[in-house]
Amino acid sequence: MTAVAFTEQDLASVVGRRFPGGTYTITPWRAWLTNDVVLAPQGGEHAHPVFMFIAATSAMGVSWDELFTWFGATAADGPLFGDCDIEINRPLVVGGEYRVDGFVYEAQRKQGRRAGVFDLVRYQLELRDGDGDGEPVGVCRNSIVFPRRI
Amino acid sequence: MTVRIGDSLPPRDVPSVDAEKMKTMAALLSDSNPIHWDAEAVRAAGLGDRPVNQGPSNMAYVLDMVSSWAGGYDRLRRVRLRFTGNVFAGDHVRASGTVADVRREDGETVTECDVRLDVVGGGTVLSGTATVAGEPAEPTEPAEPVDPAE
Repeated sequence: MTAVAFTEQDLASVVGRRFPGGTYTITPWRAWLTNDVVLAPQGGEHAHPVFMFIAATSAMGVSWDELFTWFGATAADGPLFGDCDIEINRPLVVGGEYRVDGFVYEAQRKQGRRAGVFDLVRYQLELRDGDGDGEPVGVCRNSIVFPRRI
Repeated sequence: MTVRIGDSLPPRDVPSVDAEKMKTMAALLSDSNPIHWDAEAVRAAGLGDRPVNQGPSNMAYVLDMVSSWAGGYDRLRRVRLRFTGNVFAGDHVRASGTVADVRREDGETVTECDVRLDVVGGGTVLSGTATVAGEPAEPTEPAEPVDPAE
């Protein structure tokens, strides 16, 4: 757990920071292995909707470890998934290439009775068809909880 | 097919979450956290001695439960899920849902469902809502009749 050298001002300064972004292709092998892992039926034109999360986070342009450093933390501090909100405007397709862009839109320091001090960070990632133009195919809004130690 | 508020969606069970599949998912996600494949790392993290299933896999079980009832991945419009616990190798998990709202939007039926993933014999590890469009492919189970005297 991180000692709170990372101040609330530091936390607020990350809001608005954009991800480098990138592209992700739902190759047939990725689609097959993912369906196999989650025991979903194989085949079909449409990719498993969990790819909204996988594609978004795989092509956000930073690793999880790098993202944690934005908030003065490491994986050893025990960051947790908070929640996930996925809007799907069109289904993802197997073989599709998607452009991912996004930014951090909220970061708050909180105190829970049992959890103690923690930072709740929310970020948004948008997926667009390969050229990156037009309305998003989907939007993925996730949160991460960073436990803090005072 | 008539869908009523309170109806139950057909549940989906994973009788025993497979530790081997977590290794594949770690590679697909580029998730370097060893709690997903190394029992020693799980012990060091104070999480017991069984590898921890990835959050996206848990999410996928719920997405599949809803999508197969609705008639395909292309029916899913939005999903909001909160992560509240861990799933460990060997756990029996069950994805389930109930109809919370049915409405007409732009000429099609839109159904909002409360969804969850439970460890059988344990607690809820994922809960939230899913929105699907179109007439569902599978029937729902009617809600238990409520005795007005109660």
